[in-house]
Amino acid sequence: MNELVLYLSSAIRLSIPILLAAIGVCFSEKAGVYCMNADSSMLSSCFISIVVTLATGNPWLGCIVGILVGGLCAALFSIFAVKLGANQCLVGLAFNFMVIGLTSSLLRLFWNTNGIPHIAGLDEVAIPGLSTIPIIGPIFFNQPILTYVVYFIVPISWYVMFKTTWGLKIRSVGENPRCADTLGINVIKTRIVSVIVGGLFCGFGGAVLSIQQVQTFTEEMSGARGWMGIIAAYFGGWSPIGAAGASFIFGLAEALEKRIQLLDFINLSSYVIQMFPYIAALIVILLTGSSRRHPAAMAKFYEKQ
Amino acid sequence: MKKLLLYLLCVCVLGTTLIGCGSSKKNDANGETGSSTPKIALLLPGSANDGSFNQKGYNALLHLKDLGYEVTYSEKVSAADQLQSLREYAGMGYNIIIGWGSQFDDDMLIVADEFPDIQFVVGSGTVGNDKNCTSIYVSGAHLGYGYGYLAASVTKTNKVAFIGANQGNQAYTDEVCGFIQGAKAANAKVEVTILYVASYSDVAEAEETTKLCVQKGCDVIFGDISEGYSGVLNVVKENNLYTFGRNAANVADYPTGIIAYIENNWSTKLEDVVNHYKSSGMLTGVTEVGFGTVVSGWVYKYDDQNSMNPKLITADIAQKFQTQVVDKFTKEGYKHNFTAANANPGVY
Repeated sequence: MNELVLYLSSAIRLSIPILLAAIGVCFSEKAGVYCMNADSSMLSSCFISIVVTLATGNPWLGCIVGILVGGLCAALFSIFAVKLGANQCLVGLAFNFMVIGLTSSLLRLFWNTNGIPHIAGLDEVAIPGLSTIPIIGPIFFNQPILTYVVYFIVPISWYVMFKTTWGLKIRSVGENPRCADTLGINVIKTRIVSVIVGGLFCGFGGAVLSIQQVQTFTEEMSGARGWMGIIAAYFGGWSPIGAAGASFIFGLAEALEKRIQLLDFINLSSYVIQMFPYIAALIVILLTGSSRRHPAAMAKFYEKQ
Repeated sequence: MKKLLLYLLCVCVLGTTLIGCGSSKKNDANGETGSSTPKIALLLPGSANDGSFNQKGYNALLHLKDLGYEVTYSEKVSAADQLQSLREYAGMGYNIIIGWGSQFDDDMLIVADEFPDIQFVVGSGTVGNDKNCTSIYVSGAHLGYGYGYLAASVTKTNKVAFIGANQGNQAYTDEVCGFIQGAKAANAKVEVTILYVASYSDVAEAEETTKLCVQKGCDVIFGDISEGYSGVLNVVKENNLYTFGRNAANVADYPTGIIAYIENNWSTKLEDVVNHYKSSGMLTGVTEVGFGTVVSGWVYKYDDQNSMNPKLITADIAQKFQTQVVDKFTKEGYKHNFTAANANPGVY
């Protein structure tokens, strides 16, 4: 039983940064903008969060500035992708490469080849009462504090997207921007705001990764989690709750892969075992692929006439 | 006018190229030894500031630069770009081209055939030819055996772990298998956990893998995984366990839990290569570096006074290590024939 608790706790830790990126992707893509910039928002936030925490000694401030920088990065992306109508995939890729280069250069400029030192990060906090519930308690309620924030973010973001007027606007500009425009919705503005909100979530994912989990910054440390977020959003049907479920499946698969390596009766190369999460992902694609439909106006440039 | 300038530029480029080719052939025809001031290029598969293997190569190159040689380098050279990058440097007139790591093995042999005037070197590689290609092969087996022996001597739970990446690589296979054998030689009861991460640089993945080792009761956990090592150290430190360091900064960061770190002086090794090139010509074959080999290997370091952590490596352990590993290997060598399957993940 203890093994199960440890396994599921590990899966939650691994899935949280992907989950936040996935929610960000949901907001951006529901509005019809490919969120190819997710990893760039995440990585820039990883870097800034650590730098600000180091400079001020305050991880909360580091987290907030990291989130804002993730949003800023997305805002720049939206100028090209939404306002100017550039190819969203290409601009997103360019942003990712640019942020990789920029963060690596700044790392070397200020810390030479020594790397950024570790910061005092955010420790696990047991919720009194809840953490003592058998099995569920130690899995869900003995986590670092930002993880608890994420527990609230998932239902709130779902509510915003599907139960509020703003959520309806987001979905309408992603499905039929012309129609939304005739109803008086400012399509460009709605899309830009959605992309920025997406960037804020990706930035939060980066801050969690750097401040809460790794507590330092290394080059390309986002480890393609932004891209995993894009896939999780797809699996989840661009619903924050669905994306959260898909992210958790990724976390489960990754945590399981390490445990499979230790099984006595499996004597396989690590490369074969490391394929398991991706095989799981492929199976999910096969099972859900036909039922997934992009928002109708995804990646289509809209110009007010 | 623009066309005229363009033609002129083409003629200049063509002329320069031909002159470059001509001087290369002249060298070959005269059978000269290396240039007195060879130009040196280094290709790194990772980043120059990874705090680990790539950084050692970069620092060694800076050492050569300090000695007055013209040097250049490329970092994060992917496997797909290796061959092209090697050809480009060869075409640019570099005399000694170094690929950093055994992932360059196959491509080095190809370009060595194509450019017989150039000395090709693989840092920590496993190949060489009889003309112009050599590998400085730091014996992974020796290295791993030493780590394993010391880890098993320090453990209190009789459980030690090695976290690696890049399983198929021969040097890595040797290191993992050497680790297992060394641990078993020091302590027959020890249980050795071998785990692999998918990425050298994913610190979060390295942390999670280390936490799994902790959950399994391992109290000495070592990760030979470049940037990912900082994740290993972080978890080991949080849990007051033991590991090996990568440099003096790790000892300063966690003095109570670092057993020792290895100072593998690549600056000296590359300097030897360059000196040999200047005085005697091309180096060939594979030069193995380990315990008691002709080319001096690494040294264990802890601080200015001690080669290993005196609180963990007692005089008795140090004496046994000297006789059962260093002296034995110096006298008898270490015969092994490990395959990738011998280094599969699991508990040994």
